[in-house]
Amino acid sequence: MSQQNPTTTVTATINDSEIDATVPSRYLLSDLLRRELDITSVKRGCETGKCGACTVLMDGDPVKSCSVLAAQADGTGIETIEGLDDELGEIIKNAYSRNHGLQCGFCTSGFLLSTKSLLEDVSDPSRDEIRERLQGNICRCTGYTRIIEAVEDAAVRYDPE
Amino acid sequence: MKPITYLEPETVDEACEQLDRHGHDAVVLAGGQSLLQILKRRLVQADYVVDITAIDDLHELGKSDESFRIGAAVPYVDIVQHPVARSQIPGLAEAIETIGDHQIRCRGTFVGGIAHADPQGDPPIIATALDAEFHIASVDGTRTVSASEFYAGLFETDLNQGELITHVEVPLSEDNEISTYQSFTRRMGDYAIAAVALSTSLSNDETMTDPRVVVGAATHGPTRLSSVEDSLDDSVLTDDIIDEAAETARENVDATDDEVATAAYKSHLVGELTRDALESVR
Repeated sequence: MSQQNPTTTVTATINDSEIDATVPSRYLLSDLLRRELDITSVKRGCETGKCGACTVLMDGDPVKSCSVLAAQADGTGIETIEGLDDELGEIIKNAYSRNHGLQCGFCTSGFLLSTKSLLEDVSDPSRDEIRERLQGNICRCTGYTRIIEAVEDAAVRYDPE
Repeated sequence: MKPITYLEPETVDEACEQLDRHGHDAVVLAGGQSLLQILKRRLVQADYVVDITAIDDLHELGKSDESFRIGAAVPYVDIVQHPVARSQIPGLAEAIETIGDHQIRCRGTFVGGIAHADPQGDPPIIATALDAEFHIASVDGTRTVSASEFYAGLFETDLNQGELITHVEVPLSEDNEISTYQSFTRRMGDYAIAAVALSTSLSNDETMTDPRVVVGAATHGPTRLSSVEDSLDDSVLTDDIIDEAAETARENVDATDDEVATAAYKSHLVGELTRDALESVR
């Protein structure tokens, strides 16, 4: 192990693929995903844990990948929007598209994953619940109204049975 | 972030040995929602990051004798979803629900917030109002300290180098105990500008006994307002008593001045939050 830049080996399941990567221990989860694995849908917005553009699902929970060390992801299952190809994922993506829930798209990956986590927990959320659960994602384009409408639309179309 | 060596002890003893061996050069990582930000900004320098979340004992959450025990690796979301916390310690759930956002509460830990001791953080304030006890381990053994003895000013705590808070115990209230947490932020999820936490025994005729009124965010760390507590003790919660308590809080709080708000404004908020706290338990 180099004294200058110690490394850690991370074994994780990322969108159903097993990965095994040796990265500098100071790497954030967002560094592992973008630099090492080339998953650039994970956006680096503020890198201070505020904007939510780098949100991924870690064992089903939404986390900001700029606020988690890559080493902390060892042994976990990570989902990015590349893994949003199941029924719920398709419903959410179509709902955002149909309702104009995005403009420039930079924040969208994070919003989609926060939305998936919300609808898995609460299949029929109120507007307040939607606002509360999307509070950690910032959008500078839409003004949020269309995003909330997209989530409501997805909830109507999603039948957890 | 500067290069770090990542350590992942599996027992409390192993963690304490690592913290002892590396001294100033080591920091404790639990959820990392505050720590990683300050490491990235180099406000804290550390060669060794000791991740305590692989230690099974620190995941404990639930009733233990007369108290509610929260392990150092337990994230906020698990606490607010716990039925005992929700029903018997409402002030704790209210405080946690104001912290950050959902992503942050999925990772961040209550005990981490206790140890980080940010004067604007919510955990130290509610822990002091609930008279929580902090259990601390080191290579020299274990000790406990009460929340009110733990905080000693701006980012100053009783925690020594090489020590680890393993869990926090919140005394479980008797049936007529009630608590609440009121804070003022400019936007949801921001750090509070002022916060008031209240815990008290309240009889059926609304007589308060042994109230604890703690103000934070507006001050250098959580501070009990003894003048307000005295004015409320053995009093029935009437409009006049609430007015008087709000005024006493406003006059007696030693609020700080900063770029966000003046001391006078924060004192005003503390008075109004004291009123909100009393109205909410009424």
